[in-house]
Amino acid sequence: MSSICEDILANGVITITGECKGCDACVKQCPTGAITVNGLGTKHAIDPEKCVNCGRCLVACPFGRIQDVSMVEDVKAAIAAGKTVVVQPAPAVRVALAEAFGAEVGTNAEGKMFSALRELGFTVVYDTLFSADLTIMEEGYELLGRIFKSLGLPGYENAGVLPQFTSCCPGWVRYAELFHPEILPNLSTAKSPMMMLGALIKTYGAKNLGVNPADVYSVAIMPCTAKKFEASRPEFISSGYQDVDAVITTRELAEMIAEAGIDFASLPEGEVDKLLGTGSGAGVIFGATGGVMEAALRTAYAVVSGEELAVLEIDAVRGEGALREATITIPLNADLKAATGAESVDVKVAIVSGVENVEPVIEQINAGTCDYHFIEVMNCPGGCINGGGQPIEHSIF
Amino acid sequence: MSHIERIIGDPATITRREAIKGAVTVVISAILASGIGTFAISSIEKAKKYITTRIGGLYSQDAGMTLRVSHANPEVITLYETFLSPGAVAPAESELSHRLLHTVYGSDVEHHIAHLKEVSIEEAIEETDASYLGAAHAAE
Ligand code: SF4
Ligand code: SF4
Ligand code: SF4
Repeated sequence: MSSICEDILANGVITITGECKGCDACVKQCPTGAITVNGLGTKHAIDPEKCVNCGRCLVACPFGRIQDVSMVEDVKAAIAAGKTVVVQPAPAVRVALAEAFGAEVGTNAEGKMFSALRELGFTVVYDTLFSADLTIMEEGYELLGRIFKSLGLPGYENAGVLPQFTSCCPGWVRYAELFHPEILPNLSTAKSPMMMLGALIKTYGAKNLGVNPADVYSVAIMPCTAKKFEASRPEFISSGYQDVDAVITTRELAEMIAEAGIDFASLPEGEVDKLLGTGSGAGVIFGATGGVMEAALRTAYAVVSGEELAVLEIDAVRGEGALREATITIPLNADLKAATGAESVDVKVAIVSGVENVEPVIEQINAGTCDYHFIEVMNCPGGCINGGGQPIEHSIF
Repeated sequence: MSHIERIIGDPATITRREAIKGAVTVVISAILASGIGTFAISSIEKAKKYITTRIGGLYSQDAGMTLRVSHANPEVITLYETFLSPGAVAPAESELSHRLLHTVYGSDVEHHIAHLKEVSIEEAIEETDASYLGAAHAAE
């Protein structure tokens, strides 16, 4: 493990510099009360024991006085050393990267992003979209197992408890570990899309590329500062190596592109590499609050009913409210009808946007009154498109 | 030190930990975006507009795609059929899918690390192959 990762595990990703003006803008955004205030106008500090590394404070600081640990130099060194440097960009990166080069907010620059990554010297370009789909398969089947267990179906005795929480947001996972260890059995055991792809790149990927996994350096481009902490966690060695070697943010990628003198706007529309590069629209919407839920419901519906949803847009889970809920009725396929004696199952779901808004849900669980099956939690309001690693365009304010 | 770092100054504080560069990056994004690097106070309302517009960018990409459900992703199907559960699409089932795609939390982490170090990835692949391909042979 690199010394940067050890530093991150010990001290966290986010730091306030000596130049803090004590204006309190960051304190209002912090979901965990991790920022120590000695008084308005005095220098603030972050307590790593309470910080979930989300960078919401960094985005909020009007003076740019909050910083995140950078792994960019490590990545450049790996490229310069001629390693097989494999990269995966997250869904939310493609709709924010172009903003840093003056494009309209929300512009989708997927093709130019792939081209830029190749120009920067990355050897293989895969896509976190692929593993977002894989996450839906693993997490979706896990959820169905928990639901079937609750219905008393045989063969699911070992499934976990309900409700099931999503586990793809490392800000939320850290929040649960630090403040609510009692609900950890409710967290899906599925890794995040980034960590799934990391584990596959150094096994299945390396085998298919015909390279030694020891020579592979795996990089993730994320809208997120908490992902730097996640990749550094010591348990992510399932490939026999550190599964993801470095995480760089959308902001840092923009900086690398600018520094390399690449004219982003005139780049051609590039292509992703096959094998671990194809993703569905369900993977794309992972970057938005409610998106993981919608993606999971599209697949759960197909598995449970044996038919595809007639309308794939599930408006009931869209929106930007801090805590939303919906009930989706799924007709049962013939086997499940026979096993349960029912015609359909009502799946109750909730979506939490902004990790602090999970508190009422956890209260319900602890009181034994929670009847949700599946709950999506995103640390950042709006989801990863508003993550702590996204471009900050102070010029619009 | 780059030109831009010199413009914004404060090098002494930025090097508290060498690797920390976020604030520098923030300013660079502002410069990239505006061309002049103006700085002003953020407002919640404008941030909300950002969120809605970026979400819209994702929803419209999804709407324009032909592949829109995870279970139809051909590369995902190939991954299961050739590696995770040979000969079958069996999510969250094989030894290999548990090892590579699932994790544990909190106080269980230490034990999990020990397990990952004790059982090699090669052994997990062998065990998975044996149970799926072995079962297929038995069924023939
Ligand atoms: S927002 Fe920035 S300047 Fe204001 S208190 Fe927080 S770190 Fe200090
Ligand atoms: S990174 Fe997130 S949790 Fe940590 S101090 Fe900043 S806002 Fe709070
Ligand atoms: S919501 Fe997304 S960007 Fe924010 S902490 Fe979670 S994973 Fe990171």
